[in-house]
Amino acid sequence: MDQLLSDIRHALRHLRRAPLFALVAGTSLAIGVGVNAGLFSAVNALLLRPVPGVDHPERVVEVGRSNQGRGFDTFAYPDYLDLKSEVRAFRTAAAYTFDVFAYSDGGEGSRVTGMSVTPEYFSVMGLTPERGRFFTADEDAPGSRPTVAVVSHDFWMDRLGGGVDVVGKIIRINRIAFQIVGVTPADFRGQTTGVHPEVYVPLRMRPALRNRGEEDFTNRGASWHMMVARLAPGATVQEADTQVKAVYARLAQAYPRTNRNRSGAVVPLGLVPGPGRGPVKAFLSVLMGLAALILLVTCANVAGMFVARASHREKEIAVRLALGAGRARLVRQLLVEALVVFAVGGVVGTAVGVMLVRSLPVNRLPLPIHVSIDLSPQAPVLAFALALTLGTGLLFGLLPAMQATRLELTDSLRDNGSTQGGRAGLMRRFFVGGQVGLSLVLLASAGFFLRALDRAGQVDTGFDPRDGYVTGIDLDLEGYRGEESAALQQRVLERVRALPGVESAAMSADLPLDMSRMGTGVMPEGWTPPEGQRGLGTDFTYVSTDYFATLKIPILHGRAFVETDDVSSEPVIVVSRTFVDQVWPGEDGLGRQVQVEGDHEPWRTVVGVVADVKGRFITDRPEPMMYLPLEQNPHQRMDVVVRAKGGIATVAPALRSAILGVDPSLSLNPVLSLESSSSLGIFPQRLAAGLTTALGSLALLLSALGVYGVVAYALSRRVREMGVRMALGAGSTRLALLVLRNGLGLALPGMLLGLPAIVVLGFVLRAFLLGLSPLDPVALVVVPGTLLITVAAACAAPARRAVRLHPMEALRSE
Amino acid sequence: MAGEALIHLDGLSKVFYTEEVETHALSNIALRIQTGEFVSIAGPSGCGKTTLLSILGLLDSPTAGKYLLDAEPVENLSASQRAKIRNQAIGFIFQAFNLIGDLTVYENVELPLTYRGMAGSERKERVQAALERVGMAHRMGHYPSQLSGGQQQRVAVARAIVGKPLILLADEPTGNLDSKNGNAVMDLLKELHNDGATICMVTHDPRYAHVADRSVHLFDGQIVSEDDARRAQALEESGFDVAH
Ligand SMILES: Nc1ncnc2c1ncn2[C@@H]1O[C@H](COP(=O)(O)OP(=O)(O)O)[C@@H](O)[C@H]1O
Ligand SMILES: [Mg+2]
Repeated sequence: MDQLLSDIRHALRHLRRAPLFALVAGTSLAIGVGVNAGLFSAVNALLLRPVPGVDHPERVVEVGRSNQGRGFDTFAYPDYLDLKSEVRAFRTAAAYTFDVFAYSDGGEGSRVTGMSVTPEYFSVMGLTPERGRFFTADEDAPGSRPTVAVVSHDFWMDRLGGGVDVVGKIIRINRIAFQIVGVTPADFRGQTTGVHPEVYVPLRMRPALRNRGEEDFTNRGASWHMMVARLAPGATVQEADTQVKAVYARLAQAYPRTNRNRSGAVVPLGLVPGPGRGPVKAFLSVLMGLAALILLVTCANVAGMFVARASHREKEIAVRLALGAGRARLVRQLLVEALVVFAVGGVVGTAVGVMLVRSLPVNRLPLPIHVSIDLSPQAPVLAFALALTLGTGLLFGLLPAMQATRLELTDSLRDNGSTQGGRAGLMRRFFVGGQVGLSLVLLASAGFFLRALDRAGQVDTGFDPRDGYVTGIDLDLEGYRGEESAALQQRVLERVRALPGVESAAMSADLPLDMSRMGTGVMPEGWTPPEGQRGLGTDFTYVSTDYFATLKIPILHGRAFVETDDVSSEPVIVVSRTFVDQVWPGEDGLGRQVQVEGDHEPWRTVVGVVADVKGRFITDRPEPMMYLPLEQNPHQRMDVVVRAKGGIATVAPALRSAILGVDPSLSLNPVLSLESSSSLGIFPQRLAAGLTTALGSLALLLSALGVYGVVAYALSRRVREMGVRMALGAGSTRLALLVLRNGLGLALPGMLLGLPAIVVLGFVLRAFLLGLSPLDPVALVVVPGTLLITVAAACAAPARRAVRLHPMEALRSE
Repeated sequence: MAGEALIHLDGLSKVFYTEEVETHALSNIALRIQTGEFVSIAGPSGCGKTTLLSILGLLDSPTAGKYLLDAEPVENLSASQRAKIRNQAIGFIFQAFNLIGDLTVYENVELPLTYRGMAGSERKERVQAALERVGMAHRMGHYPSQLSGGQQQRVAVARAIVGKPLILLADEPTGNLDSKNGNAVMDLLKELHNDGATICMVTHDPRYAHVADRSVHLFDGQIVSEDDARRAQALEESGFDVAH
C-alpha cells in the first residue's frame, strides 16, 4: 500500500514534468471514455435499468400478440381473458391501454396522460397505494359504472394541491366526474420510459370515455389493449412464452376466423416497451459499436504516446535496471503512471459525457406529446465507466510498460550521438492514421445528412407549409357526440376563418410529413387487382372544405370539396395523381367510382384529382392517396390548420382564443407552425445529422489531439536534430515545414483509406439523401479539406516551437 | 592588415542570465583569425569555449562587443540572414557528431546543399567529392547507427566541408572518440588545413592543441597568456579554486 502511494506520487511528479503529454493523453481518454459512458447511460436508462418503483421487476413480463409470427401487438379482450386464466406461469395478468384524457377543473381543459387498466394492473406491478386503495373487481365489471379513478403522486401534488383529502375528491375526465380512490406511490412513474401516467381509470370505463359501445370487450376481431403479467413463483419467462403460444394455438383452432394467424410472445418488462425494444437496441448497438471503436483508437493512440514516452526515458530506465531495480517494480511504476492518466481522463470524461447526455433535449423533440426520459446516471453507469477506465488502463498501460522494460541495457547506455526517432513509431502512425480515417468517414456522413437537410427545403413535398399553423381537437376526449361534434367543428372553422390575418382554415384527420399515416384498402371501379391482392392499398384522410387551398395542394383535375358535399348529396372523394395513374392510367379519373373495403361502404365518385403529397417522410415515394369530405364522414379527432400572416407569436394566441371562444373547456394540442410539425418528416435525417456531426466532431478533435501528440512528441525527441539543422543553415520556413510534413504524413494514409469509404457510404445512404449525389463535392472535397486544415492546425503549435528554438540551446539538449 | 581578418572580435562578452544568477561566460574577448589559419582554443571545462565557438558560428549572439565576419558586422542580421551565413560561410563539427539518424550518410552530407537550393546534379557531385575526401564514399547508403564513432565523425567532417565554407568550427571533435579514431580525425583536419581550410577548433586535450598554428587559451571567460594558463591549470589540479 505504501509502495503504491509512493508509486502514485512518483507518477504525479513525472506527469507534472510533462504537462503537455498528460493533457493530450488525458483529454483524449476523457473523450473516449466520455462518449462510451454517455451512451451507456442512455443504454442503461432505456434497456438495462429495471422499471423503477416496481416490486421485483424481474418477475414481471410484457405479453404481445404476433401475426404470422411477427410483431408484438395489442390484444383482443376475449383472448386476454383466455390467456389470463389458462397460462399457469402467470400469477396475475392485467390488461391496459395508454390514453390521453382531457382533464378540466372548471377552466380551460388540458391533456393528461392516462391509463385504462384492469384492477390487477397494480398488483402485477406490485404497487402499494400511497393513499387510499386501488380498483376492486366490481369497479371493472361489465355494465357497472362506479366512476372511480386512481391518480399518480405527481398529479396529486401538482394538479390537486397535495392535500390530505385527496381520496374522495371528484375530478372531471373527458367531462365525466370521477371519484379519486387512491394515489400511486411517488417512486412509480409508469412502466414505459418517457410516459408518466397521471390518471388511471378502470378499463371498463374506456367505452364511456371514448364514446364507444361494449363490443370491444366481446369481439375477438378487435385488438386494442396491451398486457402485462407477474410470473407465478418458480415460473420462467420461457415457460410463460411457451404456454402463451400453446393457448394461442388452441384459440386458432377454436376461432379460426379471427385467430388463424395469431400467436403471442412474452418478454421481460422493460422501460422501452416490447415492440420498440428491437429497433432501440439495434440503434444503440450501432452507436455503442462506434463509441467502442473511438475508445479503441484513442486507447491505442494513448498507449502509443506511453511507448514513445517510455522510449524517451530509455536511458533512465536502463540506469534503473542497471542499478538493480527489479523489472516488476519498474513495470508497476510505469503502469501506475498510465493508470493515473487513464483515471483522470476517465473521471472527467464520465462526468462530462453523462452530463451531456442528461442535458439532451429529449423533451423538445418535435413530437405532439410531451416526452421526458430520465437519463440521470445510475450506479451501473459509474461501474461501467470504472471498469472501462481500469480495463483499458491496465491493458493499454501494461503493454507499453512491458515493452519499455525489455531493453538491451548496453544499447541504451551507449550514446552513439546520432539523433534517432523513437521506435514503435509505426504503431502510433497507424493508430493516428486510423483516427483520421474514422473522423473522415463520420464527418463525411455528417456532411451528407446536413446537405440532405439543406435540400429538404427544395424537395417538392406537394404542399406549402409557409404561413401554416396547426393545432388539434379530439372531440372523443371532450364528451362531444355525433351531431354535436359536427356542429362544433363547423363553428370552430367559422370563428377561425373570421380571424384577422387568416387567409383560410381547414381540418384534416392526418397532416402531411408528420411521420404518421392512415391506410385502408379500396376497390376502384374497372380495376383488376394484381394476383394475390384483394384491393388497392391507399392512404387516406378526412378533410373539411378549403383543405387543399389552405395547404396550397394543387388541384389537377375537377374540383375541391364544397359546402354541398354533405350527407344529403352523393358520396364523393378526391384522389391523388398517383392513385389515378395506378388504377386508371391514361385517364383523368373524374367520374370514376371507388368503394372502401367493408360491409356497408357506398361507392364514392371521384370529383377531383390533386397533386401528390409526401405523407410521412420527405423520402416517401408517391403513394396513392384518398381524401374524404368530413361532412359525409364524421370524425372526432381533427387537426385544425390555418394559413395566416403574422408569425407564430401572434397567430398562436389568436387561434387558441378563437377556438376556446366556442367552448372554453376544450383541451387543444399546442399550436405549431406547419413547418415545425412537418419537420417530423425529416426527423430521421436530422437525428442522423446531429449524431454524425457530434461523433464526427469528437473524432476530429481526437484526431487533432492524436496528431498533435505525435508531432509534438516527435519534435521533443528531435530538438537536437533541429539545432543541427539550424547550424547547417535551415531557415524557419524549412523547420516549420518539417513539422507540418510530419503531421500530414500521419494523416495521409487515413485520408487515402477514408476517401473510398466515403464514396461507398454515399451509395449506401443514397435512399436518405434526397437525391444528393454520392459523389457530393462537400463530402469528397470540403470534408477532407477541413480535416487537412485541422491536421495542419494541430501542427501549428509544434511548428511554432520548432521555429522559436534557440539554436544553441537546441544543440545542447539531450 | 587587421581589417582583412576573416574573424575579428573586439571587447566581446557573453552573460547568461538564469534564475537571477549571472554567468559571465565570456569577458572582453579580442580575437582575430586570418584566412587559412588553424587556431585552437584551449582551456578547462566550463571556461566558455563552446560559447565562444557558437558566437563565432552565429548560433548565439554576444551580450556586448564587436564581431566582424569577413569584414561585415553581424549584430544586426535577421534570423534568416544568419541562417544563410551559417549555411554558406560556416561548417560545424561537433563533439557528439550530430548526424541525423533518420537520414543516410549521403543525405546527411547533402543537407547543407539542399538548404542552399542547389541543383540535384551539382549536389551529387559535391557530396560524392566530400565523402571521398574523408574516405567514407563506400558508406553512402548507410545510416549513422551502422557506423562506428570515428566513421560518424568523418561523415560529419564531410558535411561541414561540402558547402565550401569560409571557416570550419570544430568543438572538441575528438572528445567522444578513442585515441586511434581521434588521431585519424585530427589527421584529417590537418590535411584540410594544408589544403587551405581555415579552422577554429576547441579542445581541452593538450595533445591536440599543438596541431594548430596558434593556440588561444581561455580561462574563466577570458583570454590569457599560455603561461598564465599553465599556472592556472596547475593550481586547479592542486585543488585551489582560482575563480575567487
Ligand atoms: N544557455 C546557458 N545558460 C546559462 N549558462 C550557460 C549557458 N550555456 C553555457 N553556460 C555557462 O557558461 C559557461 C561556459 O560554458 P561553455 O561555453 O559550455 O564551456 P566549455 O565549452 O568551455 O566547457 C559555463 O559556466 C556554463 O555553465
Ligand atoms: Mg564545451
